[in-house]
Amino acid sequence: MEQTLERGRCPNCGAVASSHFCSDCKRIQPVRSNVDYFEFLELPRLLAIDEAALEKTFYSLSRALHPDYFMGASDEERQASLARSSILNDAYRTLRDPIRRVQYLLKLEGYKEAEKRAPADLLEEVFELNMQIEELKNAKKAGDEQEAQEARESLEEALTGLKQRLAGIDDTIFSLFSQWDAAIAAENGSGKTVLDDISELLSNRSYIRSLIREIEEEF
Amino acid sequence: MAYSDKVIDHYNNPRNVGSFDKKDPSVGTGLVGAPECGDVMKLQVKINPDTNVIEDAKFKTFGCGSAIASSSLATEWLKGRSVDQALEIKNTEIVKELNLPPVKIHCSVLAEDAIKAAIHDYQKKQGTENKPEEAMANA
Repeated sequence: MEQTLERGRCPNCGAVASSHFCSDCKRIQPVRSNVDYFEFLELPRLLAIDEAALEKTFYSLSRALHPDYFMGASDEERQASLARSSILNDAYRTLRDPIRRVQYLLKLEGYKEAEKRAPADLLEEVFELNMQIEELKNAKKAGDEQEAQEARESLEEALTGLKQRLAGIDDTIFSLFSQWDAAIAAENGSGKTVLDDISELLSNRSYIRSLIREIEEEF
Repeated sequence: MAYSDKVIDHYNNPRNVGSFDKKDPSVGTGLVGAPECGDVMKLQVKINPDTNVIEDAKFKTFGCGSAIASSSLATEWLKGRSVDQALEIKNTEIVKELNLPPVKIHCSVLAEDAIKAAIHDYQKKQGTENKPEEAMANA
């Protein structure tokens, strides 16, 4: 896949530079616009990545870009070191977590979260469970311990189911990672359907996660 | 983030909270959600089939103050409007009325979606829904 490399001329020697350091004079490069975390961490835009290798890259770049090494350098270089170190941390935090990684990839590929429509039965379920959470809140407020206990029991059962489904969705998403990678390798344009599926799963996952959080807050 | 007085008013005194029987043929139900925040909004309209005027509207929203205020305001605006007028309500009018900040614009979008979903549900029940794909096929 064609990647938009972060390119520009080295301010020191004028050579074309497309990395953290100029290949000619080895000076650290200023941050240019449109930073792509995959590119920043020297990775192709794939999903099933080797997390141990990513960690190694992170540590070696952390050292190479660290502001301590640029104390005596020019203002521009010190700025570049600070900016690159900060992006490095964000990039690593984003890409090492598989869900955040795929969310980031979807964003790069032009997906917007708000555009998706959840299936009607999921929305019905989310609505119903919110009603039950509200009942529990009201029972607690009114001091009706028996009512609260009933609501709690019913929500507890729902919570177990929701957690199982969340785990199931995550497994399905992770299994699609290799499909995306294969589609990129095959260059046959089939990656779009994989991302559509992932995007829908992530949307459903968001609802389920919110519900889990809300129910747990009430316990 | 500070809410506008109008948002706070609708939040503290939401108008038209409740529900109609969704099996009633004169009732249209719209249920929509926002995955980013887990909000769900249910909006229902009761329409007089002879005049096509919305006689009553109810809602129940689980979400932030802006989502509750947007849907509360929507039900106020819907009452007395014709179906066509209701479909003309734009989320930008809700944003303006409630002074919603940019991060809360999606709440007004949700309310507009809920209105449209409720009316389409009613039209589907009445068999008066415009089906563009069928119209195309018959043309």
